Amino acid sequence: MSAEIIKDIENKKTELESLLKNAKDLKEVSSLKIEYLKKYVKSLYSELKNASVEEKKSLGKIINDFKNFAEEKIKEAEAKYKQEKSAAKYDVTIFKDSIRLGSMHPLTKLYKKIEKVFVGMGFSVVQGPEIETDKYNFEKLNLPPHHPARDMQDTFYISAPNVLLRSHTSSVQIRTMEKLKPPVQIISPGTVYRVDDIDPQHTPMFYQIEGLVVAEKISFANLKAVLIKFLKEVFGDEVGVRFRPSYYPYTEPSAAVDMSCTKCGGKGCKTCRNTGWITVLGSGMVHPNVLEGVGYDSKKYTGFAFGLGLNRLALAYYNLDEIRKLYENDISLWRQI
Amino acid sequence: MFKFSLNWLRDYFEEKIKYDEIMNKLKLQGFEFGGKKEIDGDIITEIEVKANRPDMLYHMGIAREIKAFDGEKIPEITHEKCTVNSEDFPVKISVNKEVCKRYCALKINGVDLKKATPEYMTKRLNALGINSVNAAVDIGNYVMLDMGQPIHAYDFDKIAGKKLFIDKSEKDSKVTTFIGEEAEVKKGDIVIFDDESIKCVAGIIGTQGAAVTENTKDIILEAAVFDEIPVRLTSRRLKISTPSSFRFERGVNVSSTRDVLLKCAEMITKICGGKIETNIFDFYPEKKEEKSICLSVKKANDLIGEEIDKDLMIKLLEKYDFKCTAQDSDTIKVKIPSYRLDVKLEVDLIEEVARIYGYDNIKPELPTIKTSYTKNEVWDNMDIIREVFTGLGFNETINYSFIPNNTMNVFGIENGDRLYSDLVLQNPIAGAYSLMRPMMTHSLLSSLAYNYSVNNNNLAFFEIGRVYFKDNSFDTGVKETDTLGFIMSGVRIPKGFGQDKDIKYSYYDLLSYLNVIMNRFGQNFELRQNDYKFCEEGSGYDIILSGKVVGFIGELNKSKLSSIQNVKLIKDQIFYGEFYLDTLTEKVKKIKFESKYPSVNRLYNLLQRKDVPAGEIADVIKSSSEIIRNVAVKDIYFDKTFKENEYAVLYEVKYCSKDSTLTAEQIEDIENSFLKKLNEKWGISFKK
Repeated sequence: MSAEIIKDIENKKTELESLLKNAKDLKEVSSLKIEYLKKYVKSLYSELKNASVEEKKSLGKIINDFKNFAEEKIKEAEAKYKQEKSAAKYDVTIFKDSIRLGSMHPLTKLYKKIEKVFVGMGFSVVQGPEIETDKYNFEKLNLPPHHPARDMQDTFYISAPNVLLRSHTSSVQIRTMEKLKPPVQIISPGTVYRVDDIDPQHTPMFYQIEGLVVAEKISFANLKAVLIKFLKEVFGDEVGVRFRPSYYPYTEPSAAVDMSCTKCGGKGCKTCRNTGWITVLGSGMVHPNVLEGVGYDSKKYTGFAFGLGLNRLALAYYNLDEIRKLYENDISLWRQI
Repeated sequence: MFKFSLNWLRDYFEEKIKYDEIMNKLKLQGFEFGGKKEIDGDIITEIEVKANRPDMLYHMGIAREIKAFDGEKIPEITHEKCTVNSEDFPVKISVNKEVCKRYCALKINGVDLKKATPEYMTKRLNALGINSVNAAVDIGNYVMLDMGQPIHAYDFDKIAGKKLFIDKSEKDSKVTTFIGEEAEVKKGDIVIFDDESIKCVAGIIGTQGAAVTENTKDIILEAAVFDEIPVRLTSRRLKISTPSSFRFERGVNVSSTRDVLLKCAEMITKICGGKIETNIFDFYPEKKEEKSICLSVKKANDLIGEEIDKDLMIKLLEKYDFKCTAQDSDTIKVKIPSYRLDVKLEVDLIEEVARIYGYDNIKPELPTIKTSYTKNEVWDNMDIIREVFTGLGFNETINYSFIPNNTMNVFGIENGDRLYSDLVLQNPIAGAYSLMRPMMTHSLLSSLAYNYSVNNNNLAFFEIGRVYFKDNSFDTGVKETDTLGFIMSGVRIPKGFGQDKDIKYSYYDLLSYLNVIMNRFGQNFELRQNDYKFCEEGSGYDIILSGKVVGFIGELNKSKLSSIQNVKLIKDQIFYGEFYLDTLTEKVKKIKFESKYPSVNRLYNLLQRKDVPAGEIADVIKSSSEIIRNVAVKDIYFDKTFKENEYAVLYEVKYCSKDSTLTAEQIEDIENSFLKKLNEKWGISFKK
């Protein structure tokens, strides 16, 4: 009796193999699975009950072998069908050009990133007029009339010498300090103007972000920490930052802040004029004359201020070559970022 | 900016200094590299010298900085000549002390100016951009670039009446500078003149009047320090900037004037022969005292944020020629070197301490400040607008705030109109960038047109920026308002994917976008017709919020605006809107209606007169029953069978009750009631 069974098992093996080979889909494989692995194996086990002890042992092994064999073959077949796709209903590589988000201006995009860092540190955002008086743009910033440092900022006038287009947003800081008592922790973002013809590397208008912190016991070490945190959060932890002595009439001590060139990583390239560094910020401890000028007690309060031109930074950030492109509004460029 | 010669600088050092090393030292102390050129075995380097450090505008000053950095002895001006002050000077000189801080002069007799300037000198001068004239002038220039004191030489024989006056000019006059150019001296300019004419525009340039030539025998050599501001003003007005005026404007060390003059005279006699007269003229009415400042160690450390001990602080300062005396445990009395014109206050000394200590050695430390965040609503609203508009597919632009000076004319906006402005710059870079914009229209239209010129078509843009109007209630005389502008033209949804026609931007899109953004802020706005000349007839409307005009919309009149660059490239209709953001505050909306019963939508095709606003009809429908939740216009169409002044409007009405599932009868009752009202009021009929 066992010989017959053994033979039958052998036949079933070949049968199953060829049927699996010709199976058209997963469904057919499933029915073969039921037929051979469940029903047939079950029937074999029931045969086994009738066998002698001797036979049980050898036949049991043969049945087990078959079971393993069938399981393996069915698994293979299933895997094969699972891999195969059904005929595609749609071409998923097609996207409608007409469904898209509008682009934000690159300056806005970068600005928002920067704003987030400062707001996260507790800075408030303040605004002020773009058309300013000499008093707020220069005089209150320790820049009396005819000061040679005024040459650094060639100014547009509405009516000279008193009404002008602000050449920096420091004017907003003065206006804010006149309104608020310390502690003050603000950024003043906005458009500023300096006389410059429009060419690839110059524009008569640009975006500036200035910051100011005035409170008791504010130090240069604080200034360094805040600006390092800002640059690392915007440009990444790997960016190098250094502080160099500089001069601004409204800060003392003053520092220029350099960042390792993001284009070449500090090795030296055209963007950083082979120095490996890009100057990104002007900063310093607020000059006591400025504090006194807005009615703050400079013996009690100290503070730091900083300013950055967003447009130059945007060139490095977006790898853009021409600064004037920022105001040409060619939308095909905006759509890339 | 100052250019220096490496070979020249090397004169100050016994050992050969390395270029890269000195450049690094200068950079660390805040003098940025500005470029270099190699000329004839020398390196000419430009460094950035800020306005506070005129002591770095000459070679000795640079050598001083480098030596101080290295802790070496600082160079000083040395000369052998002993002189005596004398009233008995061969030229009678009178100086107005209001315009001149110091005036030194001496006489050299019997020079031979046919002798050539030594080659090393002309080579260095040329490399630094100064042409050789004759030995006396060249040596004067050389001394200036070496020691910072401008020098001027006069031909003694050409001084009329043997008198020189240093004073403000009493009248306007024309002079010919020694290089042969005309300059107009105005009343009040500081000049040096004799009995006959102006010999020198003080601190700026000499005239031909008493210029030394190769035939000059006796020289009057002048070293003076004029007031900074008048020199600056005259130099700017004449548009003549000389190495001398550049230095006077920034400040010249008044303490070394006489020494430099003597050094210069010595060099002239060595090269050109002659003899220096012992009598020297030295007008120095307010002798500059050696200045001392008390520095508090604690204050310095508090401001820097470090713990630098007193002894180290003294050591650092003395390296840089600041002589220190400890007063008590906290105070150091610091003597300021005469050439450091920038150190005036204690805080200036603190900067010196920080600078010499090294900014990089100061350990960063985040501050802890107890301030509260102040909300800035206009600013926050701009973010909301950006989100909404980019979400709707609009792209953001930023344009210059100044627009062409003929804009009012092109747009047909007249003096007295709400949008009129003549707020122009006095010194624009060009006429096309001179009017401070009173509206965003020109900016957005130009951006749109520019994009058509670079083949970006079918566009919608928005811009958030300011508009400017004269307004004397502001201290600047100008009112600035944050404004949103938006513009669109061309195809909004292109044909394809089963749709057989392009869908272009339409006036109804413009209205709907306005509605979307106003809704976002919970604002109910009204529109009031206003025929702007730059809009197509009948398309211009003012936007009214709480009774105030806050902006306008319209279809731009392309033929009127066709003179604006590239506008002709735009073939489709252009729709535009703008409104002010300062009055926009977000109103919180409440959820008013909830129902567990199903709602029913019904469509009504109403034949109506064109002059009856659909909005009013919708209001009538809506007010006819509280069961009506919403009325929306779904379509407008015209058919040839209609009368000329009629069209059909398709309204969708949504019914829903709080209390029960609606029956057909209930709805029919309501619709009969509003259809009747509409018919009575406007003769509107229901087209089945």
